Amino acid sequence: MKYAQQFLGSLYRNLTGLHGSLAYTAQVKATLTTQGILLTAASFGTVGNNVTFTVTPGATAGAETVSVTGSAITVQVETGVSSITQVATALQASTAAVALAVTTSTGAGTVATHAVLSLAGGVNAGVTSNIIGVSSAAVTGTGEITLTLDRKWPFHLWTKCMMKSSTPQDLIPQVESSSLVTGQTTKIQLLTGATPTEPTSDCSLYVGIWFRDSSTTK
Amino acid sequence: MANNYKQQFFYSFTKGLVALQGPIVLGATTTGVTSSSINGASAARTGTGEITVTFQDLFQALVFADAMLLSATARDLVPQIKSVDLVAKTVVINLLTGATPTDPLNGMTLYVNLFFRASSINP
Repeated sequence: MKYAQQFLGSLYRNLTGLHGSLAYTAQVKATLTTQGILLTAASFGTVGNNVTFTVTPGATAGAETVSVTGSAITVQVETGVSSITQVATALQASTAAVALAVTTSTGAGTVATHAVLSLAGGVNAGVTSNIIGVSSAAVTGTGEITLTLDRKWPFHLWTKCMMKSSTPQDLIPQVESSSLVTGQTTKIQLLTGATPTEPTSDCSLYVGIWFRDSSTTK
Repeated sequence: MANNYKQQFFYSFTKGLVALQGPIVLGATTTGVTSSSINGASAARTGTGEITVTFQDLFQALVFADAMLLSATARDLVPQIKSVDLVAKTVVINLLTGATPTDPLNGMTLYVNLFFRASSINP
């Protein structure tokens, strides 16, 4: 049982506020840099860490071939002769490869064969709650956070959120849905205009949720 | 005041909850903040579209924040916290147009509501 502190006056009986912050970890795409070639996963999150890249011999410079099996990208080159630009061009021309990873050339020179390498560093968006009375918080969609409270309340009065970001972000919190009387959840969206949008860097949300903890309206 | 029955308290799970609330009247760019009426804190313009609230007391955590603009002329500005420094006793608020800090119009008011936990015990 939590000990509720006494505070200001109100016209509501047993007015109770839940306050605290949400720490939001921004999603990151997995990447791999090898031999002057940068592969960036097409999708955000850990799914990109499953993408692999292999360079095998057997092609002629200027006629590199790309094959994709599942999450594995393989490019055939002429070892030590195919240039970075030629290999990057071949990868960029492969629809199947582009669906897994976007290729950028980051240097000059030639490409040699190498064994399987995996993209790495992909991170899923995540959120942790520091709000007493909120039992869990989860990212449940693009720019969408679902809070689950540890109990039901008789009457929900209001919810307010304010964003904190060391790098300014065009994101405005908005309550998407609230089921805090019949259920125990509320959803908050982060909007750019009217579009739910993922933060581009780690940020926080200061949240206040207010209830009347009484069946008596006044 | 209307003839309503006023409850004496509201409740919080936060121990030692302290609220700093009040309006900050914003001036022209060169003027910065015209006046601040937040008990226990002062406010100043510290950059383009940037207002720094400096509070007098040491708190353990900022647990809730809200800021809302009053403007007779509609303005595309959204308050967003840039940083919180409990040692320096500051909360820096950006006024953003999109993701760009932007100065307010002369005479706009920023209503600020900051809740702190004064106790080191949580909860």
